[in-house]
Amino acid sequence: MERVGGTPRFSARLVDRHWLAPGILELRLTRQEGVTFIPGQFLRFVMDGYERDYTMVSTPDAKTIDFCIAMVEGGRFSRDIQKADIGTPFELTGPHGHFVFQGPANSAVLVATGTGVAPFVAFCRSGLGTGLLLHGVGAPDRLIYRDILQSALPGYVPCISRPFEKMDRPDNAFAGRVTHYLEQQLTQGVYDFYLCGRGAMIRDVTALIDQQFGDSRLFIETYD
Amino acid sequence: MKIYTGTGDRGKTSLFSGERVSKSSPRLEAYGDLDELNSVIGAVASALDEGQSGLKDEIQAIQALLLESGAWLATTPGAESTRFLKPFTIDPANTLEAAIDRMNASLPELKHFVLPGGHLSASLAHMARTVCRRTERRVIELVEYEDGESGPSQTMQHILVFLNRLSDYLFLLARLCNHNQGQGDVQWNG
Repeated sequence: MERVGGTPRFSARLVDRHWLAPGILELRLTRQEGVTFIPGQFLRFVMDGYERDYTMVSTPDAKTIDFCIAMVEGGRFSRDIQKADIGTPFELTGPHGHFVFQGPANSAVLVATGTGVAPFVAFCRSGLGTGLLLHGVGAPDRLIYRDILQSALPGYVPCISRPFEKMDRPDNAFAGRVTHYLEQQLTQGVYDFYLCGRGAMIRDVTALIDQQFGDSRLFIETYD
Repeated sequence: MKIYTGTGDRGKTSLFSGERVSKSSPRLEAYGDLDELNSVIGAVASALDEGQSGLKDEIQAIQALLLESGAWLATTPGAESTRFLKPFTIDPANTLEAAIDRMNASLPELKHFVLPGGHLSASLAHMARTVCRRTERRVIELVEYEDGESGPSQTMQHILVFLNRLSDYLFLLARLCNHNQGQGDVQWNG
């Protein structure tokens, strides 16, 4: 493992790739000895002419480094990762980022949309056992890592924004956006909010926090 | 990555340690002034001649230290997030003292008051000096506001010493810029 400007740079090989949900791939790469990170941090894929950042869903002590990646129509990384053979080496730098669990000072409220749930999967796999986790998706089939999250965190609530058949409704699901859940269900208090997902969700939830939960702390990771 | 988030549209922003604070809070005033200082110092570097790459490198190293001290100012003391911050020691202030001594030795002895001005690079260095003094005052205000009689933490003390030396460095840098341009100090004939 070498260092570039103080940041470790290393190679990892693709060992597994499978679909978690329509349009969402899970990648597994070999974990070279010495590669470590704090759950919630991300690695940078250094590709031929471009770079992409993805948060690990695995724990620092796992045998592989795992990522969940939303495929983008016409996207370079989406194209390259789907045609890569098992065993293909990837160049990575990192770990990067500061979106990590900040300790149990206040009750944690984790809010994600889509693959923004990735850092929270790492939190839960690393032992986070209390707090509320809202995972906002358009449809029930997008609830990736549902079994892991449900068993790790009693406060796991899937939030499904589009209308769906009642028979398809997952246990404990909330029909509506994460912002609606927070407005309607979260009791007054001081929390540590962790928001990860699209900018529009982060903007709306931040406005709500400023209005209703003013003394809370807020940690943000935006997925474009 | 988008530059705008819309999370600061109602007058609040998040500290690195997560707290939502008013944009007029003493902490924001302090690191806002530090940001302004860094920008003016960047303008000084931009106004230097091509042949002064050594000085430009020194100035850019100072800018990196200002970013590091800004991260400390943007974090509530004792917060979990401080583990991500690079320790800010007394070393940067000592390095500035050595640079001050080096510049002072190369300049004619000062026997009169000088007016801020002269070459553009010198004028900008004087502007940076005054912004540095204001930043130092803002950081003192923050320390007094938050720490009261307990006094500043060791890190904040190191940042204060660094800012204090930096304004002296910028005064000498302004003089050096004028002398390097062959025009000397702008004397006050009052």
